[in-house]
Amino acid sequence: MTKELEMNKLFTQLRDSEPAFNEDQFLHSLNLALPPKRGISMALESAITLVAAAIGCSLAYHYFPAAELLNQIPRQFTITPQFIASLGGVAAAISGLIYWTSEADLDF
Amino acid sequence: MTDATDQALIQRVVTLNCHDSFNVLVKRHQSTLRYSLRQMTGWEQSLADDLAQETFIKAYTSITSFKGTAKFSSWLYRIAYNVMISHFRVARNRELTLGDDGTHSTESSVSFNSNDLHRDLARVMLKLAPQQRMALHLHLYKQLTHQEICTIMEIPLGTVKTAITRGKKKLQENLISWDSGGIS
Repeated sequence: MTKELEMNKLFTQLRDSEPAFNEDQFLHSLNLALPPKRGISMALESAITLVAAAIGCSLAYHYFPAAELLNQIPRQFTITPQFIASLGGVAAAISGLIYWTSEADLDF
Repeated sequence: MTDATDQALIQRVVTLNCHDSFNVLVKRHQSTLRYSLRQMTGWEQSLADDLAQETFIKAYTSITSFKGTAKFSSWLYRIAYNVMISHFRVARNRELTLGDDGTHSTESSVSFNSNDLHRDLARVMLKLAPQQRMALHLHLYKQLTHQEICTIMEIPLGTVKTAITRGKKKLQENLISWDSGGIS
């Protein structure tokens, strides 16, 4: 009984003085050893892309108003000074926009 | 996130593969597990930390198998116990292959001159078989019930009781030779 009490006393003493092991080094080395985040496999990714493409194509085939859009394309072109001026204006605007985006420090 | 329960963090690791949540779990449980493994390895710090690291890696890779029926800490201890047993088995086989006589040098290296109670007890505990050592640590130090020890070590209740009884007896015998000044 005394021996039992002594052993209990010993373990109580140990519990009361348990050292803490919380240094970051352990966590750091563990993170290096952990396997990288699981991603989907290349085969699964390819399969998903193919299925999505097939669905997209069939939806486009059924619902895309191709005929209406084709009918809106003008069959005849008449080049007038106003048309050339408009074309020049649009080209200048696009060029300006390209120049601005390439020079500007855009931070999205 | 640090206030989240173990279960919530595990859920995040499983569903979102969230490393940060797993880090919180590690921070929460590392100290006690690393201490226990020091006690199991005769206070060999680098070995204990290696085993702790292996335990956490196994926990991470098999976290989907955690059902939540037991505490996460119990589940970690189960993994740690298996890792430890596996390590000692490999080490023993290596010793046998190298022609060692099987009696580990720890017997002669046990020293009671240190004032470090934890280290001294760990060295005394090393004289016990790994199963007795773990059962005794969980029972006397962690104050777990026999049933909880059964769950962690995945051995029958009778075996747990036997391991504790025999372990206590052997530990008592070994403690007799302990320098009485070390316990105070």
